[in-house]
Amino acid sequence: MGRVIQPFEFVEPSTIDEALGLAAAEGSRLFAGGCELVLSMRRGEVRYRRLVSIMGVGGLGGFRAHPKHGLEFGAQVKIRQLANHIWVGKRWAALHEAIEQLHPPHIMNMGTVVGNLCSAVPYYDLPTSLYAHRAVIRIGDGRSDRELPIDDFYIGPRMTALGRGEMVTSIFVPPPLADAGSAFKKIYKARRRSNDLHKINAAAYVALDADKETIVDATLVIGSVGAKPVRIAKAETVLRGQSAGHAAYEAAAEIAAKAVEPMTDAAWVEEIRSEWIRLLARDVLEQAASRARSRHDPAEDAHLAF
Amino acid sequence: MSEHLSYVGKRMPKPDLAGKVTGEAKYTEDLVIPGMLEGRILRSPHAHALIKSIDISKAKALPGVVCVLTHKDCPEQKFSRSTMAEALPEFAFSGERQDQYILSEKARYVGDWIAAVAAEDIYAAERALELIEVEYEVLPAVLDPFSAMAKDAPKVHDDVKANVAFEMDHPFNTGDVDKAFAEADAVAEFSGVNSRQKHLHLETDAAIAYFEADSRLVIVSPSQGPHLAKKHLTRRVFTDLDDGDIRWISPTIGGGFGARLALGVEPVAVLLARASKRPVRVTSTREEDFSGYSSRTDQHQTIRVAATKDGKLLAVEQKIVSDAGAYLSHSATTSIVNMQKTLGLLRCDNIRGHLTVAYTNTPTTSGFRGYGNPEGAFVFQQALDRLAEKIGMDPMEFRLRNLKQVGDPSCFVPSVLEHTKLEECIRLGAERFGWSQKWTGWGEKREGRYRRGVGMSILTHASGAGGFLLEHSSAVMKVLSDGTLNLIVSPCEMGQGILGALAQVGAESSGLRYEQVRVTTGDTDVTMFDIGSHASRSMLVIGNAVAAAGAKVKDQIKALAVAKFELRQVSATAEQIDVREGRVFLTDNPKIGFDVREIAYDAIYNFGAEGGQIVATGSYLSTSHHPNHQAAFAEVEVDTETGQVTVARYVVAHDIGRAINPLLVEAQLEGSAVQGIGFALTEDFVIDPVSGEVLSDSLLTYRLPTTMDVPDMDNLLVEDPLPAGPYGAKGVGEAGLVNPAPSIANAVYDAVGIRIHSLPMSADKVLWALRHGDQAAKGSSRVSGQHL
Ligand SMILES: Cc1cc2nc3c(=O)[nH]c(=O)nc-3n(C[C@H](O)[C@H](O)[C@H](O)COP(=O)(O)OP(=O)(O)OC[C@H]3O[C@@H](n4cnc5c(N)ncnc54)[C@H](O)[C@@H]3O)c2cc1C
Repeated sequence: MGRVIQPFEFVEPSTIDEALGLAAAEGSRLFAGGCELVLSMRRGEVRYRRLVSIMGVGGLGGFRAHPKHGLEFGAQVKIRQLANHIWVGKRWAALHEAIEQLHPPHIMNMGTVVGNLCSAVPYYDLPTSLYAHRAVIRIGDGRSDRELPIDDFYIGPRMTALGRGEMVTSIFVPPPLADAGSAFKKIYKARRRSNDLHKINAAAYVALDADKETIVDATLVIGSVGAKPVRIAKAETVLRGQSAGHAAYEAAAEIAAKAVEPMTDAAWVEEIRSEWIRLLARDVLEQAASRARSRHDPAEDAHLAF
Repeated sequence: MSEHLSYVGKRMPKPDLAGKVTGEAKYTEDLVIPGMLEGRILRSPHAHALIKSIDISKAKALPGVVCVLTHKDCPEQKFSRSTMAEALPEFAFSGERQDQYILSEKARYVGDWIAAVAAEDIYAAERALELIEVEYEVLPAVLDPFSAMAKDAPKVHDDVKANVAFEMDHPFNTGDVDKAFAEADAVAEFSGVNSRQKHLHLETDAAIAYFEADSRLVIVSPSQGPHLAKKHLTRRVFTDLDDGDIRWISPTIGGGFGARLALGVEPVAVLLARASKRPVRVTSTREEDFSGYSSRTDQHQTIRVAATKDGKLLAVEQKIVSDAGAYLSHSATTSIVNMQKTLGLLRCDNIRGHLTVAYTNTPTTSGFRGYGNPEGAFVFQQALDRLAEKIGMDPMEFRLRNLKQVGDPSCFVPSVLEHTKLEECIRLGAERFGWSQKWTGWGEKREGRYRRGVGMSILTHASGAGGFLLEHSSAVMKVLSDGTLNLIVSPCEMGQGILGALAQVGAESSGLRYEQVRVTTGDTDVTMFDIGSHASRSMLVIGNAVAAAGAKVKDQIKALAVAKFELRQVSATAEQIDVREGRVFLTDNPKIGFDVREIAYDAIYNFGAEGGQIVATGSYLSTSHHPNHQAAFAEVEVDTETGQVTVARYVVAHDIGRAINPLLVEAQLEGSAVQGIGFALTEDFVIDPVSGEVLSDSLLTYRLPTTMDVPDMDNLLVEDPLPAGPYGAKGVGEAGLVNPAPSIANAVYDAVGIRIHSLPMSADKVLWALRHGDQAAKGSSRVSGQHL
């Protein structure tokens, strides 16, 4: 209903160890750009007595993007930094499109990509796009590191697989295959029920063979339809090995529309929802494939990378 | 008229610009009064509930808490949040329902005010809210006007039968409507409902109340009309106080859009200040603003229209069922104004309107920029298009054939239309838009996934409600020794730029320099009585008062100049002298003259002779509503697979009389068009159909258009001075919000052949209609504003 935020302690440690130690205490929370945290604190959904900024911690600001080696960025990297990078746009188009459509400029400037992921808000867009790119989450506890595919990162609405004393240190996004493309789309709606979300998003990754005729690999993800993004594994399997064309995408889209669980008991909500899932799935596949077809060997422009 | 104008008609910067840009401007929340307490309000979690008991002991015991108040501590008489009725004559006023207490004795919506706390700091006040223990007995709630009026529905107010808050026939119903419909060649009908658009002024509701040493009450709040608010507060809320007991200050206002025409948290601040004997500031959050403050009234309407086959409009009938929410506030008056603007737009001999306003257990709705006109236009302009289609006529042509001409009854029927350039607006807009090429006739089938279509809409809107509301205003001018003009006027600067336009009129009429105009406003102890900034009235009514004062100042300067010229061996009468841009000169030899400061200085510092500063007041009483008009043309692209509507182009032509400052006029048109596009396509106030909670209570889920969503827009000004306007000006503040929804709706129909019956025309609704046909819209859902 809206609250005045009570005074809290704000600490800015310089090492991961220190940060995690401080954040482990009851009523404490890691704090990056604050875009999500301040909003939910003000809405009275969460309360913290201490916020532990990770923005001064050493070693979390790394950012590399290379068409052959992949995309890698630390927990401090702002959404804006990714938006401005040429290789993100060229090789990780789904992520880039999700970022481009995140309109409030101040959120791009303040918010981190890792913060967006860790918020685990079901209607955020960046997770959906990073599912399509099969991102890997790197988790640290100050002593050791572990890696988790993004598919295993969310365990429920606003819940991640992070254990107490752990944090995300960076994200690694593998390089796409030579003849691959990706795409992201979202659509908003007005009519809804309380347990229903106000938009749907979708992302796809499609890799073609050297002749650009056969699909060799695909990812299809639908987001904002439940607690976390949904990967349409059955559609991905069906797509693999098929000839790249409308029929394949239409068929995969049909599977997607059927695979997603309804969110309400209202027919008018569900009809539009499943139709949109179908359309978004088809459009992102189509778009991703078209990007894959128009690509040339990344080795040719690798010299532009740095 | 070969009139020389120094400032009027020029693109001048606004005087309040620097403060806004640098952040120096002081809003209510920026002010610090020594010893001030912070106040917060406890709001009901239930849509409808009896309050069995309230235990404030724990809250009171919290360190830092100074007082905790409930309905038991409030004045016993009821009041309405709307202050507007105070500007109506007594007979009209008696119809207004005074229906609420400051803090409620029963929860009537999720967010209803139950208790108030004042504490040493806002954190203690906030914690105290959580310690107040309220025992509720939850009652069944009514969440839309139709179920509210159904038999045996739960009662929102015990003393109101069938939850009918207000009912009336349009006062100017005329002709034989039934006969006209029976005899007409073609009849068309359209039903629809607008959504509860939120004002979303950036500054959320806030107020400060304190007592001066002589125990006079000072209120500081972003009111759009502090003089009227003061009258309302003393007559209806704190009846032991009178006009002279209150000083009301409106500092910089962070947006109004009509929301500040109703009392906000001011009565709570006063209540807490009285109880604590300390200054108190009450604030609210954005979420509270969404659920507890006002919004546009959702008006369910059916409009029937009839015409001859050659396109003469024979009859219009409008039925409105409005949802007031829990308290009446402006919901009845906005609905009445809807009827006036809708039934009064075109020439028609047979009109009939009927209005019913129902109470529901939802947040109170209120006045919003456009005040009923956007609500009506969305339905009426679509009904007109349907009728044009039936007789196979270009919708623009159909409208042109039925325009009112000078001498016809105006939209507030008892007065006569004295000035209209609506036809010029239509023709100019059509030409710029390319209507004749883009409009390709009714029923043309378009192909492909993305289909384009065009639509248009026209409107009439008031420039103040002269002859209806108390439309007088006064301005005071004093001239300082260096020729600076102190202009004391009453409008509230909410960002609309009125102070700049008035400064231009002040400088023009007095002959002083624009750069040396210093405007003072917002303090009822300083400014003259005025009913506030709304109804697109400030430019016309206050502008005329300023021009009248300026003329007097100029006359005084001229009179004093005679002696000054004599000292220079120049003999001239006052009539042969003119003053412009701070310079006094001879009309037929402008080279001979001097700076006005010589006169201004001597007027004050004239030791020995009779002293006296140059000072003047000017007053104006408006007896007509001097309508401004507008035509708009929209081109949309509909994605037939997703239902997404994109506005590709939007052209507006506005009958402005004269643009005192074209920059500000265009800004008003642009800003209101964007607000109108949000109203048309994205802004949706969603109330949970079971709990009555507002679901769209943040800017993440209530989608306001941003600069990124603005289409290619043209704002054309049709300038033909209104004789009664200051330098010919009419109003422009609200009109721009009216046309977007209907013109976009008509364009959607042109593109894909479906009509959406409720706002916003979001992608999901469009797709639903595309799949099921628009006839499938099954009437309203349990949630007001949403058709299933
Ligand atoms: C107005 C608005 C519009 C928006 N629009 C969109 C949109 O269109 N699409 C979209 O996808 N998103 C959107 N967002 C979301 C926005 O991108 C995120 O809120 C932001 O990126 C979060 O990052 P942050 O750095 O501010 O995180 P914070 O708010 O600081 O943190 C968010 C959460 O993540 C945790 N956290 C942060 N970093 C780490 C870490 N390294 N390890 C473990 N936990 C961590 C915090 O404890 C907290 O729980 C919008 C947000 C707003 C406010």
